[in-house]
Amino acid sequence: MAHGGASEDNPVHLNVAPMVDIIFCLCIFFMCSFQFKQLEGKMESWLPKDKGVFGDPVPNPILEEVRVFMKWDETTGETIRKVNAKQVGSNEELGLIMLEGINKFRTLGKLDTPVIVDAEPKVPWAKVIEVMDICKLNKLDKVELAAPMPGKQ
Amino acid sequence: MSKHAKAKPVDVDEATSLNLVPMVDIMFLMLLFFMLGSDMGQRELEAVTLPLASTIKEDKGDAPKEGRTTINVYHDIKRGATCETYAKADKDAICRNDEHWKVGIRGHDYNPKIKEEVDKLRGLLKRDSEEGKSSVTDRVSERLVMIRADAKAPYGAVQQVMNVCAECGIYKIEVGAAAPAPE
Repeated sequence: MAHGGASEDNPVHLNVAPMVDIIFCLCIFFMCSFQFKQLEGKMESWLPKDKGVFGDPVPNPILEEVRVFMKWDETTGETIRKVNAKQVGSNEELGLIMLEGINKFRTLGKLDTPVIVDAEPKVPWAKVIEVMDICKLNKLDKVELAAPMPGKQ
Repeated sequence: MSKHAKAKPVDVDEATSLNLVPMVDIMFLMLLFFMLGSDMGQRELEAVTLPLASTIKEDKGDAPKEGRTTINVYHDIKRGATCETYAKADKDAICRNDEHWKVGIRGHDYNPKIKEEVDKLRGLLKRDSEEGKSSVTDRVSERLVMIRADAKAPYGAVQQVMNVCAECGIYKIEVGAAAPAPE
């Protein structure tokens, strides 16, 4: 334009094209590497201080407990759960059976009866956590994980 | 001048220019969002698929003064190993090759099935355990251990880690789990 325009008023002309290119590249990089963080939490499973490797083995233990046996069936890929030799299917059923078992001991005045999760080493960790979760949902706070005595594996 | 003189065509010198300013603004905002949202820190956390549990406590990540050790139990595929079973899209496909499951602490991997490697793990945890003891004569340590195991990890590997923790006098164990997606 002969009589001046915006570009001629400003003698310093800034070329923004390279900046836009770089911002585009940075944007694509961060978009590709972006991951939405999964909401992570924790379950406290503190080990007993007076049992297991911390204490001496009990010679003749009186079994006052509700024990959940877990076995992984390699052929079907399923985890078999048993309480009192009875196979348990759904989570609701497992919760009810455990609660029933614990309540039996509670009525006898044994308030500290634990639920023992006795899983085979091949059982998926998620299934063990599932049982612990069912216990917590049913307000069964005393959950123990069975483990072989060290050196006897 | 004649009334009906031929009209001279208008000389339009109109350069169409694209206004880049709003686009640059938005690009800057997006860049800021992704830069601040991305987590580039080399943390102790491996990318594991945590098991789901609805009764979890929120993990704020704040360690007590005695410190916290994070132990990951994960599949070797995260380190570039090949495993057809684990790589299957089927969520029930579970790899039970003992060689493939590793226990990782601070970038070091240990195989829980090899005795020498378990001994190294024990040594490392023993040092951590000492930091959590108020006196040398203490049998147990107040050090916290967070076990982040993959949902498909064999329970045996987690059990092994717990055993080693117990042998080192660490009793404060936390297990990592993820909250299920709301229905």
